[in-house]
Amino acid sequence: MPATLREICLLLVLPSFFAAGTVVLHPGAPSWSPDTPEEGEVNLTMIDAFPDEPLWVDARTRDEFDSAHVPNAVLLNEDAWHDLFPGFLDKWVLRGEPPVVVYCGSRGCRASHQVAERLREETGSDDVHVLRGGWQTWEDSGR
Amino acid sequence: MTAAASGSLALRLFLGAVFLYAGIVKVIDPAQFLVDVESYRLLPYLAALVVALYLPWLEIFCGAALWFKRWYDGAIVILLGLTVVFGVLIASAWVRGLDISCGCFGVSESTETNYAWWLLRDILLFAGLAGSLWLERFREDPARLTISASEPLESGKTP
Repeated sequence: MPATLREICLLLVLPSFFAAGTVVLHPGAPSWSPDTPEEGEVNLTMIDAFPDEPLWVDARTRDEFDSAHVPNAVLLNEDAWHDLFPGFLDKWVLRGEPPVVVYCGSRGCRASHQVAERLREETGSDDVHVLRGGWQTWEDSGR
Repeated sequence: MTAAASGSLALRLFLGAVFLYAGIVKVIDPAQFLVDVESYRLLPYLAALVVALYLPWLEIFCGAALWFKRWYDGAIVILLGLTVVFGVLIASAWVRGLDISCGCFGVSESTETNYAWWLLRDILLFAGLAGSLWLERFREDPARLTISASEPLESGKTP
């Protein structure tokens, strides 16, 4: 076997053992199931068990929000934070500071995590969660 | 040390460091890298998970191979292939108008979508890898990459 080909084979095979090590040893290794919530995330079953009705925050774009959104959700994204945050705050305080659930388009988007992190910082509340799977999960649930 | 040897060494260490860094920041936060992989919307969850777990270690091994110059040729071939794949993926996301984070350097880089910069960076990495390979070959056998003055010309051709 030519030397380069042998090197390629070794370099392709060896990382797989370390990847398996990540699964076993890394405390933040992702779950094998796409529906298992990661840290800071909740799924619909967990939300149903909340003592209070959560305040939904839609972290997608205005166009996507206008097209369809969770009933009574508030639009709040990083692009228009300064314009939208006062509206969120009014509603959140008026409702007695309930749990907040943020969602974006799907499992692959980051906007909901970024908005949730910023909400935790600016409101000082830890009761801010991200919906696992985002709007796609909500739509698929048929609610 | 000749200029070619110094340049070759500097380029090899730089590229090795880039891929080591890219791999390490992803290994530290595999869940975040999985989100980045999924954001390209090309793979089902399980395939994206395997990529998110495997790719960072591949980058680390290839980066280390460049740094220590062990299995150098194999690492260069793999990394050249990877940069081509990365370029195609970035271009594909750009064409589809996805609002994503590159994921190329984990959470250490801006989450702003900047396809032009990502593609340019990818092309520069490809050029750097190809350049490193060329410089290494040049050092090993300069005659292979230059036309020898004593080489006979084919009949009918003028210099």
